[in-house]
Amino acid sequence: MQGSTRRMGVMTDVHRRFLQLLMTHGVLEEWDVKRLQKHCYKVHDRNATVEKLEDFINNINSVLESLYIEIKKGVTEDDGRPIYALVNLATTSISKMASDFAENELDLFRKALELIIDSDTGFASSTNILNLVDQLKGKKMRKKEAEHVLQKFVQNKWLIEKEGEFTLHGRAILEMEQYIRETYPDAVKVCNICHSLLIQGQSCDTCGIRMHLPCVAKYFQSNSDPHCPHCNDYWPHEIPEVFDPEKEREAGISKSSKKSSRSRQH
Amino acid sequence: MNRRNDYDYKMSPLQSKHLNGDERGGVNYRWIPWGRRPPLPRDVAILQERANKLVKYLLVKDQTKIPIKRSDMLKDIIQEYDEYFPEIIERASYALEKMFRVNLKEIDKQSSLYILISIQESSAGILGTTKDTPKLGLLMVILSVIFMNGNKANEAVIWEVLRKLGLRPGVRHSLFGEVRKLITDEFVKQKYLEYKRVPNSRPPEYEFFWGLRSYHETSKMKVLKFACKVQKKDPKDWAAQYREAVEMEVQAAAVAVAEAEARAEVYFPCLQILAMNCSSPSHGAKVHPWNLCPHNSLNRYYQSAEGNTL
Repeated sequence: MQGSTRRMGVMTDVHRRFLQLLMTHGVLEEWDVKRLQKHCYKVHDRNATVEKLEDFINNINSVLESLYIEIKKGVTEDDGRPIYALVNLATTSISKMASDFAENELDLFRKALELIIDSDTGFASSTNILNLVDQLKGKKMRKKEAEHVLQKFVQNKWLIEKEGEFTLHGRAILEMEQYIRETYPDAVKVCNICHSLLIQGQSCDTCGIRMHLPCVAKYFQSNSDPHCPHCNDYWPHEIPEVFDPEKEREAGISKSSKKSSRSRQH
Repeated sequence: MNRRNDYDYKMSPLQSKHLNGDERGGVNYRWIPWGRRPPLPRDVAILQERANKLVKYLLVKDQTKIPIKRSDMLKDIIQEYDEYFPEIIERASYALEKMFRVNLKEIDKQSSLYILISIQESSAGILGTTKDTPKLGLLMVILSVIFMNGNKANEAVIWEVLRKLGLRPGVRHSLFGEVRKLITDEFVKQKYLEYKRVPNSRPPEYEFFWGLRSYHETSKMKVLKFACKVQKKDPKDWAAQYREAVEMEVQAAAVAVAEAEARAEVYFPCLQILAMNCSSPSHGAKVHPWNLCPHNSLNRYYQSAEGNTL
């Protein structure tokens, strides 16, 4: 690991506790990450100033470098919330995803993943996934069982379910982006703005370029007459709002109804 | 161990430990990049690389809570370096402690099974529940029934208690799935419980015991306190159990101290080198007498239990 541009950091009990808790939850939203950081300082080092989150995390990452893992920051595709997860820097193939899934379960995920990538909306219907149950490698799986396995993926935050359809959780995208781009180079979609992997997003009806919802929000912010950045045609879709953590916190209780479709992200 | 490497250079078993000196740190562990280290014999660098891979492997495998077999480690990661297994696993243990605050513990010396346990009190419940919390809650109930019953409990007794919680065998629960499978199969595989046939019972009857992992992740004292909280009693009201719990704490303390001393001895030659970097003389194995019993998953349950007992 020569020539690393990262400043070598020092890891204390504050960082270790933080890392352990982040791993326990798998993926966390930025608001929770900040709370977690404050809590870790409170437990181990009450009087120290809380380091800026970015530096705090870079510190930890510089120590984890030799293991080829790091805490990565991403953004949820549907509403632009910043999320953090511990990911494998070495290409994560599906088999490395987790060891508590059987061969047929991993193959089910692979099939779902392929349907999601091929789809236009970024969602694969439960029916379509379950219809592929006969083609799975390993032990034969019944549709009923496959439904439970899909729920397991949702619980473990590899998939998100919305009205009977499945898409990739932000965590899966963070961890597997490289693998997906390498394995499905032709089918993969990319955002015109940020150039990262795109699963859900909006597309131009004329030239077909795609953009993430949060990227659309930022690009067309306070623009009453949005046009496609590529072909300049009128952008026909609803422009979402840029994610504002302050507004989020104030909304607080009224958000609880919105949260029901996305199960509590812990 | 008279192994010759590719350059026909005899490697002494002590040599790697000595060269490793500058890696050992105190509480504030400083990671020295490879570029600045003195040149290492090729083999040692590979051992470290294997150890790093082993760390990731253990972290992933531990997610299932099923104890990890030494044979699997050898087959999947160590491979041709099996002779150096002790060195590699020592380095992996060290990294796990220094980066993740978990101990790699061998819970079964006969079958060489290992688990990862958090070193200190974890911050249970700080961000709400995780997907494991309900199962661990259920486990706590079962562990307390077993303990209060004299360290073993007939299956019938367990089901009486579970029925009161609305759980029935053969009925799929939204959180637990099929409960019987959970307690007789999943928890047993994870070594939280043991499920044994009562000898000479006809028709066959079964009873539950604490599993090896439960002994490591929690303590009888904690379970006693939990049970008493539910019953709104004082732990001392259960005299026999209290005595037993105290005895276990004392034993655990003695073991922890002995282990810490053993490790300090191994690393002692390196300590002088890090006298400059180190803030504390001990290698990092903190033995605080009243924080003995390492707990990981089970501890997560406690703090959320403070608020709402099952």
